[in-house]
Formats: sequence, structure tokens, C-alpha cells
Amino acid sequence: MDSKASTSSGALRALSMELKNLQSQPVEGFTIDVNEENLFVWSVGIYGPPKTLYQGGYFKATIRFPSNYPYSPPSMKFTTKVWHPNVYENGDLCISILHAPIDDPQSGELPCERWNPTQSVRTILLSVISLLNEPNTSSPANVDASVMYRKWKEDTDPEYAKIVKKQVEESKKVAQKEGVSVPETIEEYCVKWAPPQQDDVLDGIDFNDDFGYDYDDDDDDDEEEEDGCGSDYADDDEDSGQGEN
Amino acid sequence: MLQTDMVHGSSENQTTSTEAITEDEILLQDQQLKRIEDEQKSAPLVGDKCSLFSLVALYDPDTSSAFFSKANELTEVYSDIRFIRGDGNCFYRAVLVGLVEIMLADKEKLRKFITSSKEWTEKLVKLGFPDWTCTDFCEFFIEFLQNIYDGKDNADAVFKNLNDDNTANYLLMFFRLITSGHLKENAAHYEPFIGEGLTLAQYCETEIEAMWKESDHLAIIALVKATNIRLRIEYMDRSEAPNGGWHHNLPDGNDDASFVPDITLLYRPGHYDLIYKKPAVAS
Repeated sequence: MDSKASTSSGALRALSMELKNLQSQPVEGFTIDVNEENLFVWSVGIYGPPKTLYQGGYFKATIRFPSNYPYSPPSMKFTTKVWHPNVYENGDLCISILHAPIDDPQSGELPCERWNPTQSVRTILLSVISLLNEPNTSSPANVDASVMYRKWKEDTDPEYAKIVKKQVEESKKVAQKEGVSVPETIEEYCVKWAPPQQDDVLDGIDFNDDFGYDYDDDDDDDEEEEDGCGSDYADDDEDSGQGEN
Repeated sequence: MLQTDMVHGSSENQTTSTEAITEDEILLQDQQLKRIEDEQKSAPLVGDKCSLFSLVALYDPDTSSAFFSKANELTEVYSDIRFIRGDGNCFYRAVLVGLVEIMLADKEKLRKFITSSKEWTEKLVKLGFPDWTCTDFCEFFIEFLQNIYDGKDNADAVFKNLNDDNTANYLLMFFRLITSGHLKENAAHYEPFIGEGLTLAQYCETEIEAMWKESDHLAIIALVKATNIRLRIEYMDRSEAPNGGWHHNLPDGNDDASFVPDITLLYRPGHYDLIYKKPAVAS
């Protein structure tokens, strides 16, 4: 698929290093399962962060890496049903950090926190946790979910929360079947899963934080991520209603 | 920016418009990109040093007389050329190779560059690049230099590494990071040159830190400053040079009389190669 295949041994080097690093210092709220035979596909389990709609949920996803990783970003797809403005109905996650930087003169949107080779699975996972609770509604992958999310936020329609909670309940059954115990309190979630060497264990739970690639200390923490999913990626598999954009 | 230096990191992610593009067109585009890429790959990342007359031979005196005569003119001053693959990394790669050649010949310069590379590692992390991954690129680069310093790698081994995609990509990424680092470190100075409502950080992310993305003038200045080299760029076409001249000395403000470049690049529209001056002969 990728004709820069000759770079794949570099990708293997990067992936095995990342895996080792994540195993020794896990990201809170995630499990990672990798078949050493194929480092290019990772299975991750995401624990719904406590004090959010997703609390107690267990969401499974697959991360696929290109052969020229880390120069090109991986893709991430939920295998558990997730009703979320930035998740396509087929499970594909749309988040700016997973997009290669491109100039997009048409959309007028600024590229924001795009993929670059210093990003890693760790920064992706942290962005995903942050996105779960703070959807980017400016360019939704699932327009219906996005509209519903806004109505829920405005307190005019509880449907969004209802659907999410139902999915959380369903995901709990899967967790139970797999013998996974999902942390339900912030204490469990952090203490159990925080990287051992981190001093600011409890700070890690600030879900509004713009994790990862934040080199200028100014106010962009509050800015909405704009990743242009709804417009740029309409040819990405199913049309989950981006046409309305 | 000229686009002859064909670039694409991952074509499947880079469709910029969804309007009115049919699947056939996408397929055709992909085939074209593939063809360009195959063509690129038929050339080594870093060619052997060869006579500058091989450049002259590329041009037909009748159909491209301007380039033909300019190439001829260059042979009066320069003797050799090292062709660099045109894959969007050519500027960074050419400077990398030029620097490595200097350091292979001068251990003191090598030592200094190792020191400054170590300083860059700290600076980059302070500038906010993700610690773990960024440090990895830096350490890889430093180890590459250290192996030369310790005599573990001779020139042959070094050029083998420079021609190996995996190794070279890591080294180039270090150059891209320090280029970006220099711009960010001096954000107030460079911000006014960034157009189109982009912030400096966004510019760095899309134009500098992304592999296989061509360098523009800002990238060139920043890498020159970050590596502390004196660079001359010779232009094949007068209209391409910033001041309408035939060449450009960097850092800016160096006049020809006193300027002794460490590295000289030849710019042909959209592409950079390394060129080497004739040895001085007593007249």
C-alpha cells in the first residue's frame, strides 16, 4: 500500500521503542495489547474517564501504523460502538493529531496540532482521552452525534447522554466477559494507571488540557481543535452525513 | 514555491479537496505520484561526487541554451557535483552531506558540532517538543557523529548510512527539528515573514517538521543559523535568486569579497545539489 516501504525497518525500530516505553510507563486509562509478530497493528482498550459520561466504559480500538511511521501518522478505529462527534459510524476516529499536515486553502481552517514525527502513541492516546470528553464540533465526523451533543450541552435534549450511557453499559458487559476491571473512580484511574515516575499524578486528570505538543505557552489551550474531518475526509469510507457541511 | 521537487509523505492522506474528484482521477493521480516516486527512487539519496561536466551534459545547447551556458560557466569555478535525490528533503540532505564531509576532514569541527547537537537536544525539549521522541532523534544524530569521532565509522560507512533510508530519515529529522527550533526560539523575529494567517508554530508543523516537505527561504535561513554554517547557493537562473544575482550568501549580509562558504549548493528550479569549488591553483 505504501510505496515507501523501504522505510519500514525504521518504523519497526520506532514502534518497538514506543511499545517498551508504554509498557514501562503506561498511559493512564489505557491497555495496550500488541502481537509482537505484527507491530504495525495495536489493539488498545480505553477506560472511560471517571466523572465523564464515559465513566466505567471500556472501548476497544485498533491502531494501524503505516510503513513509513513515524513520518506518517497511524490511523485509529474503534471496534466498540462509540457515539461521538469525531468518530465515524464505522468507528474511524477523526482527530487532527492523526492527520498529516496539509495546506488546505479551501476550508480556510488552520491546521492544528497535526501529526509530526515527534508525536507518538502516547500523545495520541492522551489526545483521544481529551477528545472523548471535549468533542470538536467544528468539523464533525458524525454530524448527527455532533448536533445531539450540542443540544445536550445546551440542556435542550438528553439524547446524546442517553446513547453514550447505553454504549457504556454495553461495553461493560464486554469488559466483564474479558475479565477486565474498569477503574471507576479518579483515584483508581490515576493511581493504578499513572506512569510511576510522574510527580503530578493527579494533574494528569485535567481532561481539558491540550496534551502533548504544546510548545508555545500561550492561550491556545482553549482553542477548539480544527481538523477539517468533515470536509477533507469525505472520501474516507462511509459517508456519515458530512454532506450537510 | 516551485513544485518540481515532487513530494508526498503519504498520498492517501493528502487529498486536499473532495469536490468533483472522481475515483478515476484519484487513481490517475496515485499512478502519477507512484511514477514520480519510482523515478526519484532510481537515483541514490546521495550520489557520488562527479565532474560538473555531468551537469552540462544534462542540457541541450539548443533547447535549453540558458541552462547549458550557465552550467558551462559554473565549470570555470566549480569542479564537482554531488547529485542529491529530489524527494523534498534535498535541501536538508545536501546540507547534511556537506556538513558531514567537513566533519570527516576536521575533527575539531566535528567535536564542536557534537557539543552543539547536545545543546540542541536540551533546547528542543525546552521549546516544548515531546521529550521522549524528540530526544530519540537527537540521540541518534549524536551517536552518528560520535561514531565518526571515535573512528568506528569511516567515510565509506558514513556514506553508506547517508544512503540508507532509515538512517538518513532520522538524521534529516534532527535537521528539521533544529530548523524548527531555531524559528521558534526567535519567533518574534521570524513571525512577520509567515503569511496567510498561520502562526509560527503552525508553519513549523506543516512546512518544516513534516518529512518530504520542501524547504522555503525561511527554512534555509533557519537551518543555516541553527547549524552555524556559511552557505552559498548558486542559481542556474538569475530570476530565481533573491537579489537577481547569480548566487546568494547566507547568513545574509555577507558580501562576496570576504565570504568563504563552508558549503555550496546549486539550485535548479525546485532542487538542490552540492557543488565543489576547483582547488585554488597558483597562477
